[in-house]
Amino acid sequence: MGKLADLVGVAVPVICNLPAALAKGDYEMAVFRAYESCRLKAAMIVPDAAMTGDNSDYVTVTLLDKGAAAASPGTTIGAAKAFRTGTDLVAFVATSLLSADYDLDAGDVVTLKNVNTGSTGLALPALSVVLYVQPLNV
Amino acid sequence: MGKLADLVGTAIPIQIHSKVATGVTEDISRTVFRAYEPGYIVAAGFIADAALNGADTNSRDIQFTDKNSDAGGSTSLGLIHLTSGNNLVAFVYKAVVTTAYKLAAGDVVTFDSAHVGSGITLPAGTIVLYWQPTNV
Repeated sequence: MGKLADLVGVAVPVICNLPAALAKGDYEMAVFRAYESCRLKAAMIVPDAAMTGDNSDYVTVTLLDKGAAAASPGTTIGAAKAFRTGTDLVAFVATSLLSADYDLDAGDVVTLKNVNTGSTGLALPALSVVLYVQPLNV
Repeated sequence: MGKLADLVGTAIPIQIHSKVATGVTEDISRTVFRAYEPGYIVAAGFIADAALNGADTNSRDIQFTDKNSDAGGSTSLGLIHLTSGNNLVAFVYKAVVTTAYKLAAGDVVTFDSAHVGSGITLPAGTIVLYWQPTNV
């Protein structure tokens, strides 16, 4: 059987759609599992609707590497994104979560975690997690 | 333009989040893949967002089904009975299809979840398939 490694040098787009969350509706959802070792070249979220950030009530979105055995809390991929005042989501515009390559091992599970801060939090719109996955020749 | 067949020998990941848990007695059958060209589902499974404890009497089955291109197919690619001891762990991949299954061009694959007895809830989670094109 062939391997993803045959695609070395190609960044394959992988998209996982996630549902909207109500304000204070924290969640963590699986968005990807690596079949073989691979490199995340880019990772972003693309919302279906706008969201306006707020300094008091906001959400923080984090991409996590859970390994193959649901590590808790897992390793942050890239950087957590806090949607405070001035940091908004625009409908159908990508917000990047990753600024440098991140390598995954075969079997690693990636989740998206949404955590509210403040008394009311923020409603996070339905969104697509878009990953660009490059197989590794290892 | 290149074709998927140019990717012969690769396993392309496909991830679809179910968005909601099923009801206790709810049965679902959801399209998760259609083959543009012939190829193999080399593996497929489910990553639950929350734990599920399997049970023997009131339980749930999950499987992937080849519906063919006319919805007339019913061949199972793989089936799991979530019986006692066969649990789902949050964010851990549960393999359902472990043997490569060949699809013809146009074949549609569904993810099916069916209650057994009085049923149990299937947590929301991500349906994962790995697709390998062939050149035949």
